[in-house]
Amino acid sequence: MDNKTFLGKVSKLTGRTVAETGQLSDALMTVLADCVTAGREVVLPGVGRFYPVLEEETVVVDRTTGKRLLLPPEAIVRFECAPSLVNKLKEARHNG
Amino acid sequence: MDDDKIVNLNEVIKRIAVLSDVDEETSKEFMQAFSRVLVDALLSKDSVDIRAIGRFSEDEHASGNVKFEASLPLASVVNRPFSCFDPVELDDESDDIENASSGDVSDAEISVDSMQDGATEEEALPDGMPELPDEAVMQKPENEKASELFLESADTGDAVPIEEEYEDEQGAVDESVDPQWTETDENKPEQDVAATVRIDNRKPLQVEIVGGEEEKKHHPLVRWIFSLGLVIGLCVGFIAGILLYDYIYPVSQRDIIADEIDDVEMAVIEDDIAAVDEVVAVVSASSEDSIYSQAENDDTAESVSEIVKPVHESDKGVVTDTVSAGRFLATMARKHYGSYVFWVYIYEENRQLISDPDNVAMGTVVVIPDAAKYRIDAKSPESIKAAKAKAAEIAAERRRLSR
Repeated sequence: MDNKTFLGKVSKLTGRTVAETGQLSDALMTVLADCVTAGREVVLPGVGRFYPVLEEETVVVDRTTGKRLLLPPEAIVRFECAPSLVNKLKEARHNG
Repeated sequence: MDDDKIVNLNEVIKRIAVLSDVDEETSKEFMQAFSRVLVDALLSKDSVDIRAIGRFSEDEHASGNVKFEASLPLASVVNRPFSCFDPVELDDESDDIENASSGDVSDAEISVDSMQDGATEEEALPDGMPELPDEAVMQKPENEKASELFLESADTGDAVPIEEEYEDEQGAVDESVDPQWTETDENKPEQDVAATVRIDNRKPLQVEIVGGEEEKKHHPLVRWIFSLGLVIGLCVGFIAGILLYDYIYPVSQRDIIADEIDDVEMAVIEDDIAAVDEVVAVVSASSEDSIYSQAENDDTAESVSEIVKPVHESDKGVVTDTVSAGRFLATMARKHYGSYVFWVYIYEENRQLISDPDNVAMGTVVVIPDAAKYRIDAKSPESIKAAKAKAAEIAAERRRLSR
Protein backbone atom coordinates (compact mmCIF):
# COMPACT_ATOMS: atom_id res chain seq x y z
CA MET A 1 0.00 0.00 0.00
CA ASP A 2 1.54 3.25 -1.08
CA ASN A 3 1.18 6.61 0.55
CA LYS A 4 -1.59 7.76 -1.73
CA THR A 5 -3.73 4.72 -1.05
CA PHE A 6 -3.14 4.95 2.65
CA LEU A 7 -4.08 8.59 2.85
CA GLY A 8 -7.08 7.92 0.69
CA LYS A 9 -8.38 5.30 3.07
CA VAL A 10 -7.73 7.50 6.08
CA SER A 11 -9.44 10.45 4.47
CA LYS A 12 -12.51 8.36 3.75
CA LEU A 13 -12.75 7.35 7.37
CA THR A 14 -12.27 10.87 8.65
CA GLY A 15 -14.36 12.59 6.01
CA ARG A 16 -11.49 14.92 5.20
CA THR A 17 -9.76 15.61 1.96
CA VAL A 18 -6.59 13.82 1.05
CA ALA A 19 -4.69 17.07 1.28
CA GLU A 20 -5.82 17.70 4.80
CA THR A 21 -5.08 14.11 5.73
CA GLY A 22 -1.60 14.52 4.35
CA GLN A 23 -1.14 17.61 6.38
CA LEU A 24 -2.17 15.78 9.51
CA SER A 25 0.23 12.96 8.59
CA ASP A 26 3.07 15.41 8.30
CA ALA A 27 2.14 16.88 11.63
CA LEU A 28 2.29 13.42 13.12
CA MET A 29 5.79 13.03 11.68
CA THR A 30 6.80 16.31 13.27
CA VAL A 31 5.50 15.18 16.62
CA LEU A 32 7.29 11.88 16.34
CA ALA A 33 10.57 13.54 15.37
CA ASP A 34 10.23 16.07 18.14
CA CYS A 35 9.58 13.49 20.82
CA VAL A 36 12.18 11.01 19.63
CA THR A 37 14.81 13.70 19.35
CA ALA A 38 14.02 14.64 22.93
CA GLY A 39 14.61 11.05 23.96
CA ARG A 40 10.95 10.28 24.55
CA GLU A 41 8.83 7.37 23.38
CA VAL A 42 5.61 7.79 21.49
CA VAL A 43 3.07 5.12 22.32
CA LEU A 44 0.14 4.52 20.00
CA PRO A 45 -2.33 2.10 21.56
CA GLY A 46 -3.06 -0.88 19.40
CA VAL A 47 -0.18 -0.08 17.08
CA GLY A 48 3.09 0.14 18.93
CA ARG A 49 5.67 2.54 20.19
CA PHE A 50 8.30 4.66 18.56
CA TYR A 51 11.49 5.04 20.55
CA PRO A 52 14.92 6.52 19.93
CA VAL A 53 18.11 4.51 19.64
CA LEU A 54 21.64 5.83 19.55
CA GLU A 55 24.00 3.70 17.51
CA GLU A 56 27.55 4.05 18.76
CA GLU A 57 30.41 4.83 16.44
CA THR A 58 31.89 1.73 14.84
CA VAL A 59 34.89 0.80 12.76
CA VAL A 60 34.09 -0.94 9.54
CA VAL A 61 36.15 -2.20 6.63
CA ASP A 62 35.09 -1.38 3.13
CA ARG A 63 35.69 -4.57 1.22
CA THR A 64 35.81 -2.80 -2.10
CA THR A 65 38.70 -0.53 -1.13
CA GLY A 66 40.05 -2.37 1.88
CA LYS A 67 40.13 0.81 3.94
CA ARG A 68 38.99 1.13 7.51
CA LEU A 69 36.34 3.69 8.20
CA LEU A 70 35.14 5.15 11.46
CA LEU A 71 31.40 5.62 11.22
CA PRO A 72 30.08 8.37 13.49
CA PRO A 73 27.28 7.75 15.97
CA GLU A 74 23.78 7.89 14.62
CA ALA A 75 20.42 8.54 16.18
CA ILE A 76 17.61 6.51 14.70
CA VAL A 77 13.97 5.91 15.49
CA ARG A 78 12.68 2.38 15.90
CA PHE A 79 9.27 0.92 16.14
CA GLU A 80 8.08 -1.88 18.39
CA CYS A 81 4.79 -3.54 17.68
CA ALA A 82 2.14 -3.58 20.39
CA PRO A 83 1.46 -7.01 21.96
CA SER A 84 -2.14 -6.95 20.81
CA LEU A 85 -1.09 -6.35 17.24
CA VAL A 86 1.52 -9.08 17.50
CA ASN A 87 -1.10 -11.59 18.60
CA LYS A 88 -3.38 -10.54 15.79
CA LEU A 89 -0.65 -10.94 13.27
CA LYS A 90 0.23 -14.38 14.59
CA GLU A 91 -3.39 -15.46 14.40
CA ALA A 92 -3.70 -14.10 10.91
CA ARG A 93 -0.57 -15.92 9.86
CA HIS A 94 -1.73 -19.12 11.47
CA ASN A 95 -5.12 -18.92 9.83
CA GLY A 96 -3.76 -17.69 6.76
CA MET B 1 10.37 3.76 32.85
CA ASP B 2 9.76 7.41 33.66
CA ASP B 3 6.39 8.85 32.69
CA ASP B 4 8.09 11.95 31.35
CA LYS B 5 9.78 9.85 28.72
CA ILE B 6 6.52 8.45 27.40
CA VAL B 7 4.26 10.44 25.13
CA ASN B 8 0.76 9.05 25.20
CA LEU B 9 -1.91 9.32 22.56
CA ASN B 10 -3.60 12.35 24.11
CA GLU B 11 -0.49 14.38 23.98
CA VAL B 12 0.08 13.38 20.39
CA ILE B 13 -3.45 14.42 19.52
CA LYS B 14 -2.98 17.80 21.12
CA ARG B 15 0.26 18.44 19.36
CA ILE B 16 -1.14 17.45 16.01
CA ALA B 17 -4.08 19.74 16.54
CA VAL B 18 -1.73 22.63 17.27
CA LEU B 19 0.52 21.94 14.34
CA SER B 20 -2.29 21.44 11.86
CA ASP B 21 -4.48 24.17 13.17
CA VAL B 22 -7.43 21.85 13.69
CA ASP B 23 -9.48 20.96 16.72
CA GLU B 24 -8.58 18.04 18.92
CA GLU B 25 -11.59 16.08 17.80
CA THR B 26 -10.41 16.10 14.21
CA SER B 27 -6.97 15.16 15.33
CA LYS B 28 -8.34 12.32 17.40
CA GLU B 29 -10.39 11.01 14.49
CA PHE B 30 -7.32 11.15 12.33
CA MET B 31 -5.28 9.14 14.78
CA GLN B 32 -7.98 6.55 15.15
CA ALA B 33 -8.33 6.21 11.38
CA PHE B 34 -4.56 6.15 11.03
CA SER B 35 -4.18 3.28 13.46
CA ARG B 36 -7.10 1.38 12.03
CA VAL B 37 -5.94 1.54 8.42
CA LEU B 38 -2.39 0.69 9.40
CA VAL B 39 -3.41 -2.34 11.44
CA ASP B 40 -5.82 -3.58 8.79
CA ALA B 41 -3.13 -3.33 6.13
CA LEU B 42 -0.66 -5.23 8.27
CA LEU B 43 -3.20 -7.92 9.11
CA SER B 44 -3.85 -8.36 5.41
CA LYS B 45 -0.12 -8.97 5.02
CA ASP B 46 0.28 -5.75 3.13
CA SER B 47 3.12 -3.29 3.67
CA VAL B 48 2.32 0.36 4.22
CA ASP B 49 4.36 3.26 2.90
CA ILE B 50 3.61 6.50 4.68
CA ARG B 51 5.62 9.23 3.10
CA ALA B 52 6.11 11.36 6.16
CA ILE B 53 6.71 8.54 8.65
CA GLY B 54 8.13 5.46 6.99
CA ARG B 55 7.43 1.98 5.82
CA PHE B 56 5.70 -0.69 7.87
CA SER B 57 5.89 -4.31 6.77
CA GLU B 58 5.50 -7.70 8.34
CA ASP B 59 8.73 -9.38 9.34
CA GLU B 60 8.98 -12.69 7.52
CA HIS B 61 11.64 -14.06 9.85
CA ALA B 62 9.92 -13.18 13.12
CA SER B 63 6.30 -14.17 13.27
CA GLY B 64 4.03 -11.36 14.39
CA ASN B 65 6.73 -8.73 14.28
CA VAL B 66 6.57 -5.58 12.16
CA LYS B 67 9.55 -4.07 10.43
CA PHE B 68 9.77 -0.31 10.34
CA GLU B 69 11.99 1.85 8.16
CA ALA B 70 11.88 5.54 8.93
CA SER B 71 11.34 7.93 6.07
CA LEU B 72 14.04 10.27 4.94
CA PRO B 73 12.60 13.40 6.53
CA LEU B 74 11.98 11.69 9.85
CA ALA B 75 15.42 10.10 9.91
CA SER B 76 17.15 13.32 9.02
CA VAL B 77 15.40 15.26 11.73
CA VAL B 78 16.12 12.62 14.36
CA ASN B 79 19.78 12.36 13.38
CA ARG B 80 20.30 16.09 13.09
CA PRO B 81 22.72 16.31 16.08
CA PHE B 82 25.04 13.82 14.40
CA SER B 83 24.53 14.85 10.81
CA CYS B 84 27.65 17.04 10.88
CA PHE B 85 29.91 14.04 11.34
CA ASP B 86 31.20 12.15 8.37
CA PRO B 87 32.91 8.79 8.17
CA VAL B 88 36.62 9.06 8.81
CA GLU B 89 39.18 6.93 7.11
CA LEU B 90 41.54 5.33 9.60
CA ASP B 91 45.21 4.61 9.07
CA ASP B 92 46.23 0.97 8.93
CA GLU B 93 48.46 1.31 12.01
CA SER B 94 46.30 3.65 13.97
CA ASP B 95 43.70 2.32 16.33
CA ASP B 96 43.22 5.60 18.09
CA ILE B 97 39.56 6.23 17.53
CA GLU B 98 39.59 9.26 19.79
CA ASN B 99 42.19 11.03 17.70
CA ALA B 100 40.33 10.17 14.56
CA SER B 101 37.05 11.45 15.97
CA SER B 102 38.59 14.49 17.60
CA GLY B 103 39.98 15.52 14.27
CA ASP B 104 36.48 16.08 13.13
CA VAL B 105 35.60 18.42 15.93
CA SER B 106 36.72 21.45 14.04
CA ASP B 107 34.88 20.23 10.98
CA ALA B 108 31.79 19.71 13.07
CA GLU B 109 32.09 23.20 14.45
CA ILE B 110 32.55 24.62 11.02
CA SER B 111 29.59 22.75 9.72
CA VAL B 112 27.52 23.81 12.68
CA ASP B 113 28.45 27.44 12.17
CA SER B 114 27.67 27.25 8.51
CA MET B 115 24.36 25.68 9.33
CA GLN B 116 23.59 28.40 11.76
CA ASP B 117 24.49 31.12 9.30
CA GLY B 118 22.31 29.69 6.62
CA ALA B 119 19.59 28.58 8.93
CA THR B 120 16.86 29.91 6.83
CA GLU B 121 17.91 27.78 3.91
CA GLU B 122 19.90 24.90 5.30
CA GLU B 123 17.85 24.20 8.34
CA ALA B 124 14.64 24.04 6.38
CA LEU B 125 12.58 20.97 6.78
CA PRO B 126 12.07 18.71 3.80
CA ASP B 127 9.72 19.73 1.12
CA GLY B 128 6.11 19.22 1.88
CA MET B 129 6.40 20.17 5.50
CA PRO B 130 3.68 22.54 6.59
CA GLU B 131 4.55 25.99 7.78
CA LEU B 132 3.58 26.39 11.42
CA PRO B 133 1.23 29.18 12.33
CA ASP B 134 2.30 31.95 14.64
CA GLU B 135 0.45 30.37 17.54
CA ALA B 136 2.79 27.41 17.47
CA VAL B 137 5.75 29.73 17.74
CA MET B 138 4.35 31.52 20.76
CA GLN B 139 3.62 28.36 22.74
CA LYS B 140 6.39 26.92 24.80
CA PRO B 141 6.49 23.16 24.87
CA GLU B 142 7.94 21.36 27.84
CA ASN B 143 11.15 20.46 26.12
CA GLU B 144 13.53 23.13 24.97
CA LYS B 145 14.55 21.10 21.98
CA ALA B 146 10.98 20.86 20.91
CA SER B 147 10.81 24.61 20.84
CA GLU B 148 13.87 24.74 18.65
CA LEU B 149 12.20 22.48 16.18
CA PHE B 150 9.10 24.61 16.13
CA LEU B 151 11.12 27.75 15.62
CA GLU B 152 13.15 26.31 12.87
CA SER B 153 10.18 25.05 11.06
CA ALA B 154 8.55 28.40 11.51
CA ASP B 155 11.49 30.23 10.05
CA THR B 156 11.62 28.29 6.92
CA GLY B 157 10.02 29.83 3.94
CA ASP B 158 10.70 27.02 1.59
CA ALA B 159 7.71 24.89 2.35
CA VAL B 160 5.82 23.84 -0.71
CA PRO B 161 2.07 24.23 -0.46
CA ILE B 162 0.63 20.93 0.56
CA GLU B 163 -2.52 21.35 -1.43
CA GLU B 164 -0.67 21.08 -4.68
CA GLU B 165 0.79 17.71 -3.76
CA TYR B 166 -2.33 16.05 -2.46
CA GLU B 167 -4.72 16.89 -5.26
CA ASP B 168 -5.50 13.34 -6.13
CA GLU B 169 -9.05 14.18 -7.17
CA GLN B 170 -7.77 16.15 -10.08
CA GLY B 171 -5.14 13.62 -10.73
CA ALA B 172 -2.55 16.25 -11.43
CA VAL B 173 0.17 15.05 -9.15
CA ASP B 174 2.25 12.07 -10.04
CA GLU B 175 2.74 10.23 -6.78
CA SER B 176 5.22 7.89 -8.37
CA VAL B 177 7.78 10.67 -8.23
CA ASP B 178 7.79 11.41 -4.55
CA PRO B 179 9.89 14.54 -4.00
CA GLN B 180 10.76 13.54 -0.48
CA TRP B 181 12.16 10.23 -1.55
CA THR B 182 14.20 11.55 -4.45
CA GLU B 183 17.69 12.92 -4.17
CA THR B 184 17.65 15.39 -7.01
CA ASP B 185 15.39 18.01 -5.44
CA GLU B 186 16.99 21.38 -5.82
CA ASN B 187 15.32 22.81 -2.77
CA LYS B 188 16.51 20.08 -0.50
CA PRO B 189 18.34 21.62 2.46
CA GLU B 190 21.87 20.70 3.30
CA GLN B 191 21.08 18.45 6.20
CA ASP B 192 18.85 16.44 3.95
CA VAL B 193 21.76 15.99 1.63
CA ALA B 194 23.85 14.82 4.51
CA ALA B 195 21.06 12.56 5.59
CA THR B 196 20.78 11.29 2.08
CA VAL B 197 24.45 10.53 2.05
CA ARG B 198 24.17 8.89 5.41
CA ILE B 199 21.23 6.81 4.37
CA ASP B 200 23.12 5.80 1.31
CA ASN B 201 26.00 4.87 3.54
CA ARG B 202 23.67 2.82 5.60
CA LYS B 203 23.01 0.67 2.63
CA PRO B 204 25.17 -2.38 2.58
CA LEU B 205 28.66 -1.45 1.48
CA GLN B 206 30.00 -4.94 1.67
CA VAL B 207 31.47 -4.00 5.00
CA GLU B 208 32.66 -6.09 7.78
CA ILE B 209 32.56 -4.77 11.27
CA VAL B 210 35.73 -4.90 13.25
CA GLY B 211 34.26 -5.59 16.67
CA GLY B 212 36.82 -3.74 18.72
CA GLU B 213 39.34 -6.51 18.54
CA GLU B 214 42.91 -5.49 18.08
CA GLU B 215 44.35 -6.58 14.82
CA LYS B 216 47.32 -8.81 15.01
CA LYS B 217 50.48 -6.99 14.20
CA HIS B 218 53.49 -8.61 12.65
CA HIS B 219 56.39 -8.05 15.01
CA PRO B 220 59.53 -7.19 13.14
CA LEU B 221 61.51 -9.18 15.69
CA VAL B 222 59.97 -12.38 14.35
CA ARG B 223 61.19 -11.57 10.88
CA TRP B 224 64.70 -10.87 12.15
CA ILE B 225 64.84 -14.13 14.05
CA PHE B 226 63.71 -16.07 11.03
CA SER B 227 66.26 -14.39 8.77
CA LEU B 228 69.06 -14.94 11.25
CA GLY B 229 68.21 -18.61 11.62
CA LEU B 230 68.16 -19.01 7.86
CA VAL B 231 71.62 -17.47 7.47
CA ILE B 232 73.07 -19.60 10.26
CA GLY B 233 71.59 -22.73 8.76
CA LEU B 234 73.08 -21.96 5.36
CA CYS B 235 76.53 -21.36 6.84
CA VAL B 236 76.45 -24.55 8.86
CA GLY B 237 75.33 -26.52 5.83
CA PHE B 238 78.10 -25.02 3.71
CA ILE B 239 80.79 -25.87 6.22
CA ALA B 240 79.44 -29.36 6.69
CA GLY B 241 79.44 -29.88 2.97
CA ILE B 242 83.06 -28.85 2.68
CA LEU B 243 84.12 -31.20 5.46
CA LEU B 244 82.13 -34.05 4.03
CA TYR B 245 83.62 -33.54 0.59
CA ASP B 246 87.11 -33.47 2.02
CA TYR B 247 86.42 -36.69 3.91
CA ILE B 248 85.04 -38.51 0.90
CA TYR B 249 87.55 -37.18 -1.60
CA PRO B 250 90.86 -36.64 0.25
CA VAL B 251 93.66 -34.76 -1.41
CA SER B 252 96.02 -37.49 -2.68
CA GLN B 253 99.67 -37.29 -3.52
CA ARG B 254 98.85 -37.99 -7.09
CA ASP B 255 96.76 -34.84 -7.29
CA ILE B 256 99.61 -32.78 -5.91
CA ILE B 257 102.02 -34.37 -8.33
CA ALA B 258 99.69 -33.71 -11.20
CA ASP B 259 99.60 -30.04 -10.28
CA GLU B 260 103.34 -29.77 -9.74
CA ILE B 261 104.55 -31.71 -12.71
CA ASP B 262 103.38 -29.07 -15.11
CA ASP B 263 105.16 -26.36 -13.15
CA VAL B 264 108.41 -28.29 -12.96
CA GLU B 265 108.38 -29.26 -16.59
CA MET B 266 107.73 -25.73 -17.65
CA ALA B 267 110.59 -24.48 -15.51
CA VAL B 268 113.00 -27.01 -16.97
CA ILE B 269 112.00 -26.24 -20.51
CA GLU B 270 112.30 -22.52 -19.98
CA ASP B 271 115.78 -22.82 -18.48
CA ASP B 272 117.36 -24.86 -21.28
CA ILE B 273 115.14 -25.30 -24.28
CA ALA B 274 117.94 -26.30 -26.63
CA ALA B 275 119.29 -29.03 -24.37
CA VAL B 276 115.89 -30.56 -24.03
CA ASP B 277 115.42 -30.69 -27.75
CA GLU B 278 118.68 -32.54 -28.20
CA VAL B 279 117.91 -35.03 -25.52
CA VAL B 280 114.48 -35.65 -26.93
CA ALA B 281 116.00 -36.26 -30.32
CA VAL B 282 118.51 -38.71 -28.90
CA VAL B 283 115.85 -40.44 -26.89
CA SER B 284 113.51 -40.82 -29.79
CA ALA B 285 116.28 -42.24 -31.97
CA SER B 286 117.27 -44.86 -29.51
CA SER B 287 113.97 -45.36 -27.79
CA GLU B 288 113.72 -48.97 -28.89
CA ASP B 289 117.11 -49.96 -27.50
CA SER B 290 117.08 -48.05 -24.20
CA ILE B 291 116.80 -49.81 -21.00
CA TYR B 292 113.99 -47.61 -19.83
CA SER B 293 111.99 -48.30 -22.94
CA GLN B 294 112.18 -51.97 -22.12
CA ALA B 295 111.14 -51.09 -18.65
CA GLU B 296 108.17 -49.15 -19.92
CA ASN B 297 106.94 -52.18 -21.81
CA ASP B 298 106.95 -54.29 -18.70
CA ASP B 299 103.78 -54.33 -16.63
CA THR B 300 105.26 -55.41 -13.33
CA ALA B 301 107.49 -53.38 -11.02
CA GLU B 302 109.86 -56.34 -10.54
CA SER B 303 111.19 -56.19 -14.07
CA VAL B 304 112.18 -52.59 -13.51
CA SER B 305 114.03 -53.41 -10.36
CA GLU B 306 116.03 -56.14 -12.15
CA ILE B 307 117.34 -53.71 -14.75
CA VAL B 308 118.34 -51.08 -12.27
CA LYS B 309 121.60 -51.53 -10.49
CA PRO B 310 121.25 -52.59 -6.87
CA VAL B 311 121.77 -49.97 -4.19
CA HIS B 312 124.69 -50.17 -1.87
CA GLU B 313 123.65 -52.11 1.13
CA SER B 314 125.93 -50.52 3.65
CA ASP B 315 124.26 -48.51 6.42
CA LYS B 316 126.74 -45.75 6.03
CA GLY B 317 125.38 -42.85 3.98
CA VAL B 318 121.79 -44.08 4.05
CA VAL B 319 119.51 -41.13 3.94
CA THR B 320 116.20 -41.41 5.73
CA ASP B 321 113.25 -39.21 6.21
CA THR B 322 110.14 -39.30 8.36
CA VAL B 323 106.60 -38.92 7.15
CA SER B 324 104.78 -36.11 8.93
CA ALA B 325 102.12 -33.49 8.34
CA GLY B 326 102.81 -31.92 4.95
CA ARG B 327 105.77 -34.20 4.48
CA PHE B 328 105.16 -37.27 2.42
CA LEU B 329 106.76 -39.14 -0.48
CA ALA B 330 106.21 -36.47 -3.09
CA THR B 331 107.58 -33.67 -0.96
CA MET B 332 110.56 -35.83 0.01
CA ALA B 333 111.22 -36.47 -3.64
CA ARG B 334 111.05 -32.80 -4.33
CA LYS B 335 113.48 -32.13 -1.52
CA HIS B 336 116.03 -34.83 -2.28
CA TYR B 337 115.74 -35.16 -6.06
CA GLY B 338 114.32 -31.81 -7.13
CA SER B 339 111.01 -33.09 -8.48
CA TYR B 340 107.86 -34.63 -7.10
CA VAL B 341 107.72 -37.30 -9.81
CA PHE B 342 110.55 -39.28 -8.31
CA TRP B 343 108.46 -40.32 -5.31
CA VAL B 344 107.97 -43.62 -7.08
CA TYR B 345 111.55 -44.60 -6.34
CA ILE B 346 111.17 -43.81 -2.68
CA TYR B 347 108.10 -46.01 -2.72
CA GLU B 348 110.02 -48.73 -4.48
CA GLU B 349 112.81 -48.50 -1.94
CA ASN B 350 110.37 -48.81 0.95
CA ARG B 351 107.79 -51.21 -0.38
CA GLN B 352 108.02 -53.35 2.74
CA LEU B 353 106.95 -50.35 4.86
CA ILE B 354 104.46 -48.67 2.58
CA SER B 355 101.33 -50.51 1.49
CA ASP B 356 99.52 -47.51 0.06
CA PRO B 357 101.65 -44.67 -1.26
CA ASP B 358 98.64 -42.28 -0.96
CA ASN B 359 98.11 -42.98 2.73
CA VAL B 360 101.43 -43.32 4.53
CA ALA B 361 101.19 -43.42 8.28
CA MET B 362 102.57 -40.50 10.23
CA GLY B 363 106.01 -41.13 11.67
CA THR B 364 107.03 -43.71 9.13
CA VAL B 365 110.77 -43.56 8.51
CA VAL B 366 111.53 -44.14 4.88
CA VAL B 367 114.86 -44.63 3.19
CA ILE B 368 115.76 -42.14 0.53
CA PRO B 369 117.59 -44.08 -2.17
CA ASP B 370 120.57 -42.73 -3.96
CA ALA B 371 119.72 -40.82 -7.10
CA ALA B 372 122.21 -42.79 -9.13
CA LYS B 373 120.54 -46.04 -8.24
CA TYR B 374 117.48 -45.18 -10.26
CA ARG B 375 119.19 -42.69 -12.59
CA ILE B 376 117.25 -39.86 -11.09
CA ASP B 377 117.82 -36.52 -12.74
CA ALA B 378 115.31 -33.69 -12.30
CA LYS B 379 116.67 -31.91 -15.32
CA SER B 380 116.37 -34.88 -17.58
CA PRO B 381 113.05 -35.21 -19.38
CA GLU B 382 113.87 -38.84 -19.97
CA SER B 383 114.21 -39.45 -16.29
CA ILE B 384 110.97 -37.62 -15.62
CA LYS B 385 109.22 -39.62 -18.29
CA ALA B 386 110.47 -42.82 -16.77
CA ALA B 387 109.20 -41.76 -13.36
CA LYS B 388 105.79 -41.01 -14.81
CA ALA B 389 105.67 -44.40 -16.43
CA LYS B 390 106.59 -45.93 -13.14
CA ALA B 391 103.79 -44.07 -11.44
CA ALA B 392 101.33 -45.37 -14.03
CA GLU B 393 102.50 -48.89 -13.39
CA ILE B 394 102.03 -48.48 -9.68
CA ALA B 395 98.52 -47.12 -10.23
CA ALA B 396 97.58 -50.02 -12.48
CA GLU B 397 98.94 -52.46 -9.95
CA ARG B 398 96.90 -50.91 -7.18
CA ARG B 399 93.74 -51.05 -9.27
CA ARG B 400 94.27 -54.72 -9.86
CA LEU B 401 94.84 -55.32 -6.19
CA SER B 402 91.74 -53.36 -5.19
CA ARG B 403 89.38 -55.51 -7.31
